[in-house]
Amino acid sequence: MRWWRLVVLVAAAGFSSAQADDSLSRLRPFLQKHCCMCHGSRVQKNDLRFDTLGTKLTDRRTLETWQDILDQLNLGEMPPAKAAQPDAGQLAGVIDTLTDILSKAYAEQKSTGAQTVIRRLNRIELRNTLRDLLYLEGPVFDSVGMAKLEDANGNGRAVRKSTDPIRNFPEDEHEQGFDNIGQRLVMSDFLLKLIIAAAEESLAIATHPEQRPKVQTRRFAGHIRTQGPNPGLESWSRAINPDYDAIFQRYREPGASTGGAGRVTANALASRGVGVAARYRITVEASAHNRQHPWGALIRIRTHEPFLLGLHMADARRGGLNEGNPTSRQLTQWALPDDGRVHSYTFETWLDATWTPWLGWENGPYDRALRASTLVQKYLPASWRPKPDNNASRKLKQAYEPEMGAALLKSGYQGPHVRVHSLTVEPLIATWPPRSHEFLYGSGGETAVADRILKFARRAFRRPVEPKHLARYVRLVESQMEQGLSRAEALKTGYTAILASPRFYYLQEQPGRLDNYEIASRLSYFLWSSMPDERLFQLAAAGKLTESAVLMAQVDRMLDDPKAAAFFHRFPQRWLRLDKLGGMPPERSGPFRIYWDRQLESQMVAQTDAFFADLVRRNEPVQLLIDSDYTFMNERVAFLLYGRDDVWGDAFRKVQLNDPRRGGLLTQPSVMTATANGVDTSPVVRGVWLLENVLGTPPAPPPPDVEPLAPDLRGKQTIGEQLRAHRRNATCNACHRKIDPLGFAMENFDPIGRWRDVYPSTRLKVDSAATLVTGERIADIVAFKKNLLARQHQVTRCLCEKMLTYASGRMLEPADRGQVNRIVNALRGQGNGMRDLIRLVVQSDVFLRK
Amino acid sequence: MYRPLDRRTYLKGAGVAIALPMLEAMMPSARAAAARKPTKRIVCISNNYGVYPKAFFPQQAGTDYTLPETLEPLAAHRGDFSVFSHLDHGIPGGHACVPTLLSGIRPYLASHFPEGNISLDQKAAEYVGAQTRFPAMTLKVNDANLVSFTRTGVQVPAIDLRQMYQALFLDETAAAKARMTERYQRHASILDVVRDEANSLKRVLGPQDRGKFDEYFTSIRTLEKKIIQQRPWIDKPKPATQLTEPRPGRGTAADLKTMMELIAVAIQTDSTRAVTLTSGFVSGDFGFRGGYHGISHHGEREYEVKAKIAIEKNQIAQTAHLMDLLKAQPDPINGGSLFDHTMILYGCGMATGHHSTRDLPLLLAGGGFRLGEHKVYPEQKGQRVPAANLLLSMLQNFGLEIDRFGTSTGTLTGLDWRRS
Repeated sequence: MRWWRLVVLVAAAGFSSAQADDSLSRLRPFLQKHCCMCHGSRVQKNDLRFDTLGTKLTDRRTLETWQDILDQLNLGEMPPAKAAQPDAGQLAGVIDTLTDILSKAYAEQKSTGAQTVIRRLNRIELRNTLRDLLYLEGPVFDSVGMAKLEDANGNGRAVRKSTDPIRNFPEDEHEQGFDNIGQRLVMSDFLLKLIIAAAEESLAIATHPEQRPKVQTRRFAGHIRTQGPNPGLESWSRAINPDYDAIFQRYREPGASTGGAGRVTANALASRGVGVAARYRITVEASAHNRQHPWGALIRIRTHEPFLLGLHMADARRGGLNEGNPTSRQLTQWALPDDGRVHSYTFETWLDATWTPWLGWENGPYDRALRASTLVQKYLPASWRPKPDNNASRKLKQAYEPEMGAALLKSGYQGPHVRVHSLTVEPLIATWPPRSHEFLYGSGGETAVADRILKFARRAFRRPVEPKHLARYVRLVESQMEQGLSRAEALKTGYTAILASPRFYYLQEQPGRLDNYEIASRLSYFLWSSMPDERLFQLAAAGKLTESAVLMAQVDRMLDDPKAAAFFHRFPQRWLRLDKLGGMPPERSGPFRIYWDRQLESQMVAQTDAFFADLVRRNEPVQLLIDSDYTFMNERVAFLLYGRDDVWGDAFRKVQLNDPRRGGLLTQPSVMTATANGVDTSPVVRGVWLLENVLGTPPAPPPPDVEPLAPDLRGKQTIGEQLRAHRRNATCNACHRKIDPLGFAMENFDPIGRWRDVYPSTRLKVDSAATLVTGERIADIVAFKKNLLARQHQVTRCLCEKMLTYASGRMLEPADRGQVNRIVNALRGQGNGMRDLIRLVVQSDVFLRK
Repeated sequence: MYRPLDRRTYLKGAGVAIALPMLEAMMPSARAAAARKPTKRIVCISNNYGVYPKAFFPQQAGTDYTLPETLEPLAAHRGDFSVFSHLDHGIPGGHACVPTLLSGIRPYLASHFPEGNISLDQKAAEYVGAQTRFPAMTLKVNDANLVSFTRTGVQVPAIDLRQMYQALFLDETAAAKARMTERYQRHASILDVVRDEANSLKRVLGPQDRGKFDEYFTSIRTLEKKIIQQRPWIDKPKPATQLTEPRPGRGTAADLKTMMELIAVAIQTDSTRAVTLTSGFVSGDFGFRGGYHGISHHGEREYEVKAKIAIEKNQIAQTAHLMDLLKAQPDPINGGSLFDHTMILYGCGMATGHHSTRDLPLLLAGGGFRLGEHKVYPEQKGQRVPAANLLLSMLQNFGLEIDRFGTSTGTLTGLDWRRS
């Protein structure tokens, strides 16, 4: 008898489902009383019998039967109406208990024993790794995201035109948004084929057998433009001023047409690009004029800041300088001293062959008053004559504005403007062949195939390799050469095989404490979504990465590296489910077409990335995610999403908020758009999103067979009123009273994250007041953020769990609770800093052990 | 009998991982046995936003029902199609269920099923193997095709009208063919080497990793098999045609019509035997403005409801056009008409625009099925029939000797077909 009890005890300690057994047994009286007359020893309706129902939930049939019981109770279909009904309080208790037990049982089935399962690279990690392994450069490899191929929304044909090596890859599998979970990521023959193709393409980009390209420095001086822009002050100035191209206004964001005004480019480059992919030094001579000017009544500028001249690049073959070209991106901006003298500015960047630089005035005036006739009428009345009336000849009418413009410019333009005197594009090809080629084939002098393969495989496999393990690749290269392929082609085949091999494509880790190389890879895929760099390899070789101080120094170094952009983009994207952006976007022809016309999606994401990156850089407290008195904006975001016209230019910068409703990250347009469906918003969806991703208390999934709400948009009911009707049903209310109020608080944000007070289609007022499940009444989003701040500990805990998940490539399990507690407590003691959180995550066992 | 319990387990994400079996259908013996059966084809036509049910489902059951508005274009084919009421996959999830049309399994739960969420067309394609140039074709007109999945859970990318034409008729240049042959050979040698490497890696993996890593081996095997299957087709000439390359962008009515004509030719030339096609909407079609998604959230507003019916009626009209074409063509393999041996399924994995997934719109024509009715299945919980039973019937009719597919519990009761 004694030994038997011992066995049970051991089993109970080993499997927490054994605890579930006990709790399930406690439900037996309820079943006996309400269910067993029809599903018991005498009658078994529907072949179901509960008096002998087991409690071992590892048995699938048993689990299914308990689930069915729960579903029936949830639906209120059982016990049947004619039978005696259980007391409501008791029923709720049973439902809660059973829900809890079953969800634990499901979690246990999915458990990997708190171990990261061998994980393949996802597509972004693959691209970044190819970039760093092969020393590739260019905008395709810079970008943290990727072009959306197509959406499910009928927004037309998406053509996969880019040169991105992963452009054909399907979306990676994800678990709760995370696309780097080893157990979840699936390998397939499709993917293997795509990997081989991506490897071949990338190797081709890296290979440069040709002679050093003859590419001259090109200098465009005086008139940099050879044509355009559209008729206006800037084109008329060219006829009068031979020594420079003048800019009188700021260019506007893509999609807002200015006919090319506000920017300067060399047309020769803009039509074809620079011709040779290389690093370039771009030198610009420019001068700023009349920051203080007498025409302030008509031309509005901000006299308190210097003129900003932005340097951008765009792909001439895909959109070129056409307004609305999504390839265009800002490289830097220069503050021009306000002295009217010519100053020189330089910037170095990689330009792909078809890309062109262009210049734009970031914070110039943008006013209809820039019309020449208006200015002349007011400030040069002697030169002014009235506009020809409508009956005048076309010729006369067309001559009028240019004549006024000439008058204005000849008299010496007194308004603010920028002059660009020259643009020089100088290739920087110091060594040839480039590093990418040299890495693959050496620089002159044949090295043995085995040596080349070894050199390549050491970096590709991210750990030391014995030459003897590489014999199969060497043999492949040699057999290719025997078949008549050139050495370079044969080597390429060998490299392709290495890149298709599992030692490259999977992160390999042994259970237990990670070794130095394993730590190096975990770190680099966490913070860079890419392979380790030379420094990490050196430290791993020296066995230093197991030292905490060294590790922390590396975290800081890596976060300060430009490659950390991958973390600043990808972690919020995965944590906050911003991957949903673009899945159900607004329609091109619908009420939110501005989302497409002004390319708001990329801007929203850039805003969130900038906000998050700033928190990490300055180690600001986590609470600022909930509420802040500042945000990051550029002109487009400010004007189109925040209704502000006091932020100018393309660069994102920190801006004080003038509206307490819009602080923090959780209600930023990116998040509000990702939690809507492009057509309307749902408090339920946003409420569930908040519970799952911010509060870390996901609601139970809805019982089966619940039909979605079919809203009647003809009536005069808001979504709020319709949902309130829904909640009158007690079983719905059990969960929805926890979900809906959170969503209501965010209901003022429309499907692209703008503030709204009424629903535009019905003109009904948005009601964001709600009663939380605690009984606390909140009036609006401001009050709700206060409520969240009071629960910031919960938000921090959830964030910590999500970051551990992202960093380790596995879902957290109950066994990890201790680690999470330790981090959250330590963090609180240090002031809740975002960078401190990252440091603590890296030092945890979840991160350092498999 | 339908046991709704099963899918609920999966709904909660229970982890019952089962190793991937071999692809029996690709084995030569299976093909030899199949040669004695008639050659069948499957065409699945779908949209991504469900239908307006009041205009789709007939009021009366049986053969003597009044054609609802959306189905009016099928009047001439009255005896040759059936429409089904109260069939669905029994899963909630709104838009997430659109990709479940041809399997009943949501993609993210695929790993809990022995064959993943392989879709009807891909299952059929495995059976066809190398007998046709394209084991399956995944097509789209003005919308994404979300319904085609391989057994490894990968969504098959779709091609549009122009790519379809090029795939069917345009021969590669001799140089391109040589490149492709060389490429296949090179890839075969690469796969040999990485299999070798994978074997050596597997030895140092723990049991959990090893289970996961099996996927990599399966990938190598499958890719090798596909290379072997595809290689002979490089040198075989494509069928000649008098059709000119279509110009897309003429509105969904014209584009979809042309696509149906290409499908008919693809079947006639035996270029493929398994087709899926998703059709959408572009603003301006049929005189309506907006987007399909916005329209599908009609909220009973008159303009949106009218637009939605117009969109779906066109899909049905073009399906009727395909039926006309197939009826008019003799079947060069089996005798009879192509229509007699081509199953056409119309449907969507989400029933309505407001995200209901109950009572999917499903309509079946051709293929030798006995049809001509509005078949009404039990509506009550506990007695409902899974839509996957229809899929299983189609696959059995196609020639597969299987008794389970996706979430099926058997073949669809009351649906029979000519066995010869």
